[in-house]
Amino acid sequence: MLTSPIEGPPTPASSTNELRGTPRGSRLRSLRTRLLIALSLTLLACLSVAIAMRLMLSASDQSVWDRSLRQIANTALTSLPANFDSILSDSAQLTRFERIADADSADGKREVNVQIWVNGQNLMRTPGAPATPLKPDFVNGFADQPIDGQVWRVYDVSDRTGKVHVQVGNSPQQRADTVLRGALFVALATLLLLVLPGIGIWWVTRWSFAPIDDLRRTMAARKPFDLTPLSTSGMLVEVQPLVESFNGLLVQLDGAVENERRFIADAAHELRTPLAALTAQAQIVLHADTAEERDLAVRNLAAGVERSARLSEQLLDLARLDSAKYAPELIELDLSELVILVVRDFENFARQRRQSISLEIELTRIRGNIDEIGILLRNLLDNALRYSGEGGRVAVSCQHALRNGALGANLSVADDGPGVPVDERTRIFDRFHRVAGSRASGSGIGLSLVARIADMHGATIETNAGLGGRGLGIHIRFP
Amino acid sequence: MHETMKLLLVEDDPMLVEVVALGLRRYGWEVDCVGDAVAARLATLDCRYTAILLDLGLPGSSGFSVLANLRERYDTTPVLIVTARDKLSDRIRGLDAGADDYIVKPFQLDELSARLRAVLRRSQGRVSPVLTYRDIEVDPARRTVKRAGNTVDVSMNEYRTLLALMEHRGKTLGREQLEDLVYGSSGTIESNTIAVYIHHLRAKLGNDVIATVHGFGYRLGDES
Repeated sequence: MLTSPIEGPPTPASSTNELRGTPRGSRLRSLRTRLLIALSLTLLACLSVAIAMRLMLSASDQSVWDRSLRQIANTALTSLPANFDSILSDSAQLTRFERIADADSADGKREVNVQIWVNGQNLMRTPGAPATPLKPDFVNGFADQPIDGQVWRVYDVSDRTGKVHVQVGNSPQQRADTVLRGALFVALATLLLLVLPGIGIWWVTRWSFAPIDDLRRTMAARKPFDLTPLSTSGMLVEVQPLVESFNGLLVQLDGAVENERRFIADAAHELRTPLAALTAQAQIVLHADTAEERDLAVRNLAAGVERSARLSEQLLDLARLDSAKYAPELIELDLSELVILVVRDFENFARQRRQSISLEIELTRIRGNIDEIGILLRNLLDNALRYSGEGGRVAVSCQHALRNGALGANLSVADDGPGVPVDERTRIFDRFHRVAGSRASGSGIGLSLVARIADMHGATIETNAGLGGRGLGIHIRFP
Repeated sequence: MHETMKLLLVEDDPMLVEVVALGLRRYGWEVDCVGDAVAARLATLDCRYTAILLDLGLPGSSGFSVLANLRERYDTTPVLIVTARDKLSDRIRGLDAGADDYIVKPFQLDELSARLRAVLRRSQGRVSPVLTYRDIEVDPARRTVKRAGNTVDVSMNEYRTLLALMEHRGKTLGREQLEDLVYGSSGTIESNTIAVYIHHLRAKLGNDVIATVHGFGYRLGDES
């Protein structure tokens, strides 16, 4: 078999990329959402731990409650003026005192109940406190006192004389309320802690991405097919590389579009003359007077048609290479088999001009693209035969060869025609270059195709004198 | 060949059909035309053609399916494929799929006629039974080569070289003769390709299968 199996039109690489690019979650594509989610989860975790700890402590740690009871009792006691005895009898002062006492216990008003006893008489009490003493035994210290069917925690403290007692206590209901209040407060704080950063993030990202939004608007406002690069001044540092690579793409695209425009202009220019010649030749045929004249004219016309057809084919080959979207798909192939096929194509042409072609081949493995190597071979042979002239000879060979210690493949096409002056030899591979003074009707495109394709295969081209020191020899070395 | 030469032209471009049919008729061919793969299949089932001219550029690469279909049925009608100038890969694919020869579009009518004639000449021995020599078996109907019962992979030209030697068993064939038999070469091309094919065949079938007769050519089998 000639080559590795050819399955048919190759599947473009882009289709597999599309399959792999399915988004895993469209929500995760928003930066803001990502930030919000990350921050929220972290906060939630921390706060949950904090709340849990606090609740556990608050509910079960008796000493915390007791400490606060004692603190409030002591504060109330020490805030009593020393001469309260006299106050008792003075109702105005009493009122003032009551207000002070109220103010003192204002903080603990809902949390605890306070009673102040003087000589067994109730001086004042907080609104929620019962009329009966919280701690009936008037003994200093803590106790669990059943009151109105519930078990209160009570505390009694007195002054040195023992005449004044301050009793504080809280009911289970009050404790529950306190815990609930605490929890509610924490929840509210959490909510704020979530919402505020959320709003903050939203605003910050909006502000940060404003330049990108500007970019979007700039691009939307562009005229269609405007390929000028985007300005990177004032661009966010993180986004700059993206814009730069995008600009690189634009430059490439611009180059490609420009190439295409140039090519169409060149092609139109190149085709104009041969087609004009065809028209003229056809006219001559129509107006020929004699059969001989007509015969000659028709033959010229046929030649003209052939020339135009060849030119068109070459222009199309050029266009095809220019617009190669993917790198050519290279496969392992045997160059000698392709050479044999292409050389056969020229047999008729050579025979008509009494030319001979000699072919020396060996199995030569290279990595290449069959169609493109076909174009390369065809143009090499076409060029050689055209310039070789009547009765000329063209020698084609391909084999493996060692060069600089590396094994490569050589392809040579040599003719014995008029050849090309040494100083012009590199220029013959330029597009539309025609050797001055040559009578052959070349298009100037053939060898530029050869150079292009050789380049695409990583091959080098050398030229020297052809057969017997005459003509042109072209040698292509594949890696 | 005194029988009527019937050609099936499988081509969808009407202008080309007109020109080719007209041209070939002047060379003595009777030309039937079909425009698509389905019609081609029906036509080949219907009657036996001397040769088929198949345009591989039929829409949807259906030209290849015509070829595949023919060979699956072991229909050995010689097929000449018409390929585009810049699609060497199509040409190779077509030849590997069982086409006997090819011609490149745009072509000249006289060249087309010459290739058709060459293809016919080569296919003369096509109806003959399997050819054997020692442990090598060549089946022209199926275009297969077997050695000791195992199928051997050979390129089209290697196959043709072997077939030519087998058909002229015992006779020494010169390089030019072989070239003519393998691809109808007219002597314009002087090449060492036959030597290369012989070399490959020896590698695949054994060194002593084909003898080199120095100065004259190659021979398969003992001199008769």
